[in-house]
Amino acid sequence: MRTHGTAHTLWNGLGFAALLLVGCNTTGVVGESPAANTDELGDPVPPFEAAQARITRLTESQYRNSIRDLLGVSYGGDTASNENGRKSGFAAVESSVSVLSAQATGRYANAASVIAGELATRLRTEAGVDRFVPCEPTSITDEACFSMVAEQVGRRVWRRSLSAEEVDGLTGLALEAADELDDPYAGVQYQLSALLQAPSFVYRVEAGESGSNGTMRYSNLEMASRLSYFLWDSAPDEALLAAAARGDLVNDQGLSQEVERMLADERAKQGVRRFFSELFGLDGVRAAVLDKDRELFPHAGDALANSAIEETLRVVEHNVFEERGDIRDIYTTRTTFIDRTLASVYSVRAPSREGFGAYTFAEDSGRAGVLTHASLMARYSPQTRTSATVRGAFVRGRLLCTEIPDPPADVETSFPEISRASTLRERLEEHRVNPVCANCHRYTDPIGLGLENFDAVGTFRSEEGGLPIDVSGELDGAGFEDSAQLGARIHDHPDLPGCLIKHVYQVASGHFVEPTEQQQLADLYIAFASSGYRYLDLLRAITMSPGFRTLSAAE
Amino acid sequence: MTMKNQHKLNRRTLLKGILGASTVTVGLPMLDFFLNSNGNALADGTSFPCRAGWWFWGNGVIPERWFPTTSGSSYVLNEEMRGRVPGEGFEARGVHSDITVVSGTRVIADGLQAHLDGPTGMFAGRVLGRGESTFVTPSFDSVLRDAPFASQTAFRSIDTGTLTYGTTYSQNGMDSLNTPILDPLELYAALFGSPMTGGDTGATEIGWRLEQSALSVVMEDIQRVQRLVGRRDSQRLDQHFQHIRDLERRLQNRIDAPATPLACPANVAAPGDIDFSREDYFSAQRRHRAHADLMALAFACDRTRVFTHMWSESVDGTRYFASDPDGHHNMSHEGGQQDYVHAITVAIMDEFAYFVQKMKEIPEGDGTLLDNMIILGTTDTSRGQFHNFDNYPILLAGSGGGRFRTGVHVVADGQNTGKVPLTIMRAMGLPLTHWGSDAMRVTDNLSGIEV
Repeated sequence: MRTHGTAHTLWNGLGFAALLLVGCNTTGVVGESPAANTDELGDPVPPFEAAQARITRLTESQYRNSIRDLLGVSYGGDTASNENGRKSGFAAVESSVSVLSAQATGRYANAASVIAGELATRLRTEAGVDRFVPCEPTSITDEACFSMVAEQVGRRVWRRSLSAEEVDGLTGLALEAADELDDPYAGVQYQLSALLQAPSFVYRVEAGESGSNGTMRYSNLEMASRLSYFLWDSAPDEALLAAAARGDLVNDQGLSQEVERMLADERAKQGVRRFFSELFGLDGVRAAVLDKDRELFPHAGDALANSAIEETLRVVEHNVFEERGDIRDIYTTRTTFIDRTLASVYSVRAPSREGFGAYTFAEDSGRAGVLTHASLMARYSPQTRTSATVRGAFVRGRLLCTEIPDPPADVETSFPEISRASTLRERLEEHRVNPVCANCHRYTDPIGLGLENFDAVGTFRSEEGGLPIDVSGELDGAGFEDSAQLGARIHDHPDLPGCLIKHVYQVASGHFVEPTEQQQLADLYIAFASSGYRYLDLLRAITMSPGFRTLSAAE
Repeated sequence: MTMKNQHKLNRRTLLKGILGASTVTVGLPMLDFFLNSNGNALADGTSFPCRAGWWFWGNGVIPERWFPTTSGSSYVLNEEMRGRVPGEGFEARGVHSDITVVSGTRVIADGLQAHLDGPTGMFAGRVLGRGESTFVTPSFDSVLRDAPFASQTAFRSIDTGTLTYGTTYSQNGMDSLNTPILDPLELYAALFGSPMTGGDTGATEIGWRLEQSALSVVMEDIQRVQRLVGRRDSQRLDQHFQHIRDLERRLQNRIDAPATPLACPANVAAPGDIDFSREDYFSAQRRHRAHADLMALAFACDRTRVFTHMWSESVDGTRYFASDPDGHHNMSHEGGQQDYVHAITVAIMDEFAYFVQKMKEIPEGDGTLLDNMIILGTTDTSRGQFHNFDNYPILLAGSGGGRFRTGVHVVADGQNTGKVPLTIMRAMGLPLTHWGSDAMRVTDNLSGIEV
């Protein structure tokens, strides 16, 4: 089978062996082929067991997208979803464990009242029927309309039907507000304010139901939310809720049909963009670019930050939705999309006068794949220079799932001074020869040194301080001469697909992966490889997998 | 009976049901700050409330340029506390005599890891286990915010930050961070605007009552969801519920409009817009000083008694000055760049002095607000260059209501850093028998810092 060639580091890529590493002095990074039912250390893989039920809070982008799709309001204020304790790098995973803070609770309350106020203003001023609100109250005692809003808007916002009691409570709240403020629209406003800060909106509540042969599965409505927040990064639409109501989402055929509809929808791009933004840390590009030393890097500024992020996302989007190709090609492709700002940083002719156009980097440009984009080169560099360690740690940690621990305490961290002009490779020599440093730095620095042709905003250079830059190196035994070849080594690295699967699976399932899910990840690996590493096929495989559809009762 | 009345009745019933016996405390006004005839204590004979909290910066110090060169009282300030320019530093800001320096203590554990073991050991009395990236036990400020006195004010605690992206070492346990407010405007709105953070500052009593009604729907929903989830999620929802109750209490506090203490101004001006687009020392300074100014008023108005401020996080990489060849953390590891690091530490120490100075400018009774505060200033490591945890840099500002010595350099060689938070918590009235676990477990106060 095609996957066997890469199976030897399958487990490592999936992230389990990495947890076992004690320090970096392991030889387990590239090891022997395990038997099919053992992990890379030879221990048996436990049989698949679905993860426990849990509640996951909407991420910041999911909150905003939901508000836009459900109410037609674009909310630009702060919400509460960026609390980050564990630094998995993925908001959807962290929000499955993080506890809401006092400050965040206040922010939800505030956001809810601002959004509800905006909607009430819209209802007051616009003519005709609102697209998102089923009726307009005609008086402060218009109980029928308040009740209809509670029931219908409530069903969309809470992603489930409301009980009669809940509808009554919200209707009573509306009547109270309309009466106190002598304004029928105030009734709708306070209803919405309550709906939007309630846990039924801000958390995805998943308790499951009994499925066939004694297992537990996610209910139809829970599946609707799981699918929409995974594939669209937003709330379910009417069609998805209707499919749930028909019972389609708990059988293979109905589920598959909905997944195909959703992947063909424009919102699927929003989901893919969000995932890769978090995988690459693109949310940090803006701050990284703006903080650059402006004398050293005159290109740094808002325009570069925005364009650089867009370039990388367009390359991903092109791969996933247009080429429908091997996702690993994003690390090697010379095809890109740039505008005038980026063309000037890259010293090439802009493909179009305005906006972005397709461009193919010259074969001898050294530029190939997203790692050579301005976005990532700037994101993983400090303000005045490049850092081979930071760039390498990003590739290892995020793309190959190798855990690099903090350095030990009480270590002299200065480099020996070099009194003449020198290259970064020379200055980092201590990391290579001092065994205390080399333990970890041998995993990071060679990768970063392979990207030294790109400065802290991604401009190409062949010399540093008048000395030629040597970008050759080795990635786990595979040599490379330049950054394009480094991209090819990453493309072919056996840990790359498993690491990607782990991230996507965690985001999809909304929890940190459990040891009892190893078998699930291994099955996904086989499906992914058989599909030729097509990203949409990975999404399909995950949505159809037991790990996404079944659960264990929460303790 | 109309539906509306039914609902009002429901709401009251519901609140009683949800809040149980404590319903009555929800509406209690703030402590009355009317003074006795001497003006040095409250009319009811009790002393002024004591406030406690910490101010943290990342990347340590240069010990030989930071710790005072003499011990005992009237210690001689070392370079890093003397300010960058005239008018700055401990002396110029008039707070030298209010600040005690503790040297020689250490965070103790086997196999310490750089960076996070400092703040976790210092604040929570337990260093991180392997693979842990959040606190497991609460930081001491978290213990304080759960104490009975903390719920007598509008906020259990105020947490702010300057050079942080949301990370804080104020944590309640696993995955539970007390996320700091970064924007002074948001802090202003929370303290002096609508009780809803950042809400409509023109809100009226009717609006606040309606928000309370909306919150009762939210509380009902939390309870419904809680019946569906497992133990761990139920605990998460408990904390969410607690925050909603606090919000409810804050609205009630606003409705009751209790008498405010003398030093609390009738009108507080909002801070100006703050530009977040670029980060250097001067942009950070503007934000921090706006935070400090508002925090002083928050205490003066008795809006809270517990606080934390994250000036910068561990491993902060901000490039402070245009002449710096690199960011703070990177330079801290370069033997050849220690002079730049020194200049940064001087700047940070002046920010700490500014914070303390602002507290001292608020009169309270015979003295100042600072006299009724205890502020712990500390960092994540001793010498940034080495990531070492012995000779931990510790500053204590204020006398905590006459309980702490001020203006002395206490040499506490080999003592456990955990004794400092233990002493503070006991001074705040918590009857603790011990603090911390494993090698960080302590039972005694740190001798020499108390009166």
